[in-house]
Amino acid sequence: MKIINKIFSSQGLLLIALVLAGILRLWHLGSIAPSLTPDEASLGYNAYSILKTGRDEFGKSLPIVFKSFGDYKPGLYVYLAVPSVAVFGLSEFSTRLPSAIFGILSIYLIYLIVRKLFANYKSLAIISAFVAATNPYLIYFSRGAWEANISITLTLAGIYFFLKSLDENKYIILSSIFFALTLIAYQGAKLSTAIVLLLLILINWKVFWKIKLNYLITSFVLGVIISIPIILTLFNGQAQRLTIFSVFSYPRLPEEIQTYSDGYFYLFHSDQLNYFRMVMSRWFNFYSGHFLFFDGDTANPVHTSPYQGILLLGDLLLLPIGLFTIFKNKLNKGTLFVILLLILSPFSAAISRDQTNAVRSLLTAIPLVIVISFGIYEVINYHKIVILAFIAVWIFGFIYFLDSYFVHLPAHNSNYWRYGYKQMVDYVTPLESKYKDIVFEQSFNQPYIYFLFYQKYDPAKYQKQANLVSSKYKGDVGFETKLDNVRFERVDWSALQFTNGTLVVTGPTIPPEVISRPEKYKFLYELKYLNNIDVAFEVVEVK
Amino acid sequence: MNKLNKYLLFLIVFLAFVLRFWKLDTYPALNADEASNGYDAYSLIQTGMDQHGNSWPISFQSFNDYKPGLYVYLDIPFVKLLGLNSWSVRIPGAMFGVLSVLLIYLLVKELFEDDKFALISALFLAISPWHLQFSRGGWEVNTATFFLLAGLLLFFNSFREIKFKHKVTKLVLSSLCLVAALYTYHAVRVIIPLLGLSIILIYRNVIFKNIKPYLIFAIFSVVILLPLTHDLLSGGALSRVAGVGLFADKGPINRINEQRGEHSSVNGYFAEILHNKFVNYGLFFVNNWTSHFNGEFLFMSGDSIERNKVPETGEMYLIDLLFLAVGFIFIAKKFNNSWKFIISWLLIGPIASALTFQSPNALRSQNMVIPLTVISAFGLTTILNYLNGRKIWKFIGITFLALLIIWNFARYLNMYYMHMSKTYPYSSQYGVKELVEYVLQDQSKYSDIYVTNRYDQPYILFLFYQKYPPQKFQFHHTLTSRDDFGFSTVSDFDKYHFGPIDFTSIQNNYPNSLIIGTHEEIPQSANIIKRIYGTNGFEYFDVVSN
Repeated sequence: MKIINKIFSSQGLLLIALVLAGILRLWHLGSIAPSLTPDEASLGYNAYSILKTGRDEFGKSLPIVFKSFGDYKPGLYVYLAVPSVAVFGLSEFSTRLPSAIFGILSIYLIYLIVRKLFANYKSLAIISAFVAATNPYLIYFSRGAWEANISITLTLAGIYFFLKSLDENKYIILSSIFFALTLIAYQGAKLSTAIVLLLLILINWKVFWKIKLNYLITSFVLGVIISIPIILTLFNGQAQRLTIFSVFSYPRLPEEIQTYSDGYFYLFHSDQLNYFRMVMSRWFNFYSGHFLFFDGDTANPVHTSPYQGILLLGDLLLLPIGLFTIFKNKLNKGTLFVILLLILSPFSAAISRDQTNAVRSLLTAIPLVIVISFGIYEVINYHKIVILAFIAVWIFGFIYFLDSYFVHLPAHNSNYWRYGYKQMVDYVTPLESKYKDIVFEQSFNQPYIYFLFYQKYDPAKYQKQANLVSSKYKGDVGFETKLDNVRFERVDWSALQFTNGTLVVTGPTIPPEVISRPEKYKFLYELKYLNNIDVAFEVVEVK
Repeated sequence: MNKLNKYLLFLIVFLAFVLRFWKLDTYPALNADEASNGYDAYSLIQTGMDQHGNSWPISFQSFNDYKPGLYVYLDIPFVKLLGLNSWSVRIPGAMFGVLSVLLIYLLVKELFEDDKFALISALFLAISPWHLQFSRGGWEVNTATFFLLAGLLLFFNSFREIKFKHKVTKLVLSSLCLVAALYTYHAVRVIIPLLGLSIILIYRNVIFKNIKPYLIFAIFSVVILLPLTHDLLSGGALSRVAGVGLFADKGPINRINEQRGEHSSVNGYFAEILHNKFVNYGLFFVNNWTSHFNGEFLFMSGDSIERNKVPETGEMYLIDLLFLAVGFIFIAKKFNNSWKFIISWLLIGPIASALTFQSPNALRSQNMVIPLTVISAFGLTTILNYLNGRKIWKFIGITFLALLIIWNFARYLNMYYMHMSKTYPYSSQYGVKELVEYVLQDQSKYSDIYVTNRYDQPYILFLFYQKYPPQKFQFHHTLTSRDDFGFSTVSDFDKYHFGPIDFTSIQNNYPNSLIIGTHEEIPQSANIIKRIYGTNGFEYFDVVSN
């Protein structure tokens, strides 16, 4: 009996939730998702480069913002990956491990926050730990080197210590540090962190200003110092990539505006109104059943698993019940914070050009988890048969998600995950000495980074030859064109036919004039995506 | 009800009337379905048979889509009185739209006993884009919603009656209205039984305490439903339903194959439990259902079918989002039986529409407009009550809200009257009236008239606008076999031939013919004697004298 009591004590349950979270986040971490995205490979290799030389791939010593592909990644993730790369070697697993660990930490922080915000609701905190542990949105972005996930954990820590500081003032300093670190973790954190901070201060306005002034000043100064490198990027052009992703960079066509010159243009059809509509429409998309439950982020398939939303199917019932439970009672500081966060946090994604963008709105996972927890909190008082029905639906939804993630994602989405680069590097590497020239199809997938990553290319050697050609489009990512005897370029067969002894690695589209000349071109290898249907790469030798 | 409120109600109903009747005959242009209903009414008056020679049918064969028939019968007196024209076809729909505004007032008053709340509900329905869209035109759905409202009002009203006789009278009247709705439109045939179930559940104490009158209600309803049941089971109506139904969509099946293929063992236990017809069609259905609650649909862009919407306008106003949110919050605090009913209506409302494969669909889910309007009105009522007694805030608050509502409404009117027909020039049959009027002038000169079928069902509009004698049409035409969507059409009657215009072949084979095609179908070197423009200024047809 004692053991059973212990298991069902809140510490015991919390431990179970954390172990569950750990299993869901660490199991097959290196192989599912099936391959590294270019961003993941870049974070991993830069960590390796820092570890070996103390410099990034361009030879810059301990940078806070990494140039990477010209997108200037805030560097916290790289530094977090250094110890894991040091221990496990440079691999998919070691690159992704920091995110997974932070994902597990998030569960504990959510538990702490809910316990603090809703002290009157016994067992709500432990429920929320389980909801968070099994939440597809949080699991998904914990399983991959997603900077946004680090930022969420730091935000949670910031929230927790902020709430704690209202009782014990000194914690405001810790809170400030964590909030400032979110900026160094993730580009998109600027808006979401501002939203959280603003809400916390407004909701706790009176108590907040009772915090001792010297603590407030210290935390403000510390916060500013930590965020300076990021604030600077706003002025030195390194944050320009954000404008490409902004909805405000895509105005209406002149013809469309022309149709609205009806004498009421400024009243009913102004550009401001049009942008407002675009943002609102994206904001609404976040709350659609399509995004939440059934299809996920179809605008960015790499952000969700196939035919699966960011929540479990059972949450379709729990979410409205949770809202109902919250509103049934008088709003307090806690529920007000959760509701306002639920309303405001998708705006970080709504100002992006994509119809939906799951990674940018990741912060919304927190209020969603808490509202769903309220739903469960309410449902456990229902009739036994109803509870059983809920459990059945929940279990089905959970299995459906596990199936979608662990079985279908690799097969269905391997192309979106840029599957094949590892295999091609492994294939090409032993042949490098045999061919004078190797031409590798250039693309936005930045093939060079996979060579660096999978060859564990000596960073010191690479730093000397790193030469990223910047894009002709302002703010867009650049290209690396050469690594030893491997050239990265658009495959141009008419020019290649004269280069005897060249190995060509290209995408699946081979022109008929190449296929019809076996005496000239020798097909060496074909790699398919994991759906076993579509071809990812072809390797051809020019004789 | 005080005097001021009476005036207000009168003003609201008058506003509803103006919004529904202003330019009703021309804006938007008459579409093929409306023409078919009108012509069937005309045909019944003249011959006692519909256009295809079926006598007094319950469902009208029309384009082989077997339209539920009550609207045509309701239209008969108007066609008789005003002749066959756009007015007479549309007046019943618009009239029931105006009456619905009155009914929502009565229903809210019946359920919540709050005059202010009821008036705001009526005002919101009067200016609702969703309700206006389907009030302006011969849409069956709007009439069905009217009968549904009337039936529910009478049913709830019967709770107040103590005397058995009075109770039964009200219930019988209620039954008549609800059954009338079933005779009017497909979707309510799913909605009304489900609403009935939810009412039994919510009001079980009231109903089972004195069950006798409700049994009479049930038996009476079943009896007057018998003809419809017989018609549905014997006629072609069910095939139309199957044609647009969820199971006509092969998407879920293809997805099963795809998903099972991704499992390591395709016929494994696991793959079959997770990926089968039940699960996939179930998920599609629930996905469709939730899509009716998408903000994009409700507040931003509305339906995806152009005919069902106004450009850049949702089914509701964006400001309704605020009122709905406040409404829901305060419903949660006071979740009484009346609210349980309204919420269950909101949840049931999209079910019929979700069972078809084009979702969200504003037409099939139009009944949702009632619970949504009620909740939104409740939100505004709550805000007004809150502002009451706060002098300066009351003034600022009311001015601010009034301006927002007026701006939303004004933008809707701007979009409806100045942009809709230009942005969606093919959403309705613009230009056909002008075309028929022109052709009638000198059709006698030609032995054959060839008309493009690029736009929906041209034959019916030619019958309609020239008031072609039904007896000459009924047995002298053939319906084509059904297309992929289950529709048929008529390609020849009299000297008219409808089809794609292959200009050179018609030109060579049929001298002395009139050829009418779209601008793209007619070579501009041909002998074009007339270009036909719609009321929106678009060029729709080129007429060639051969």
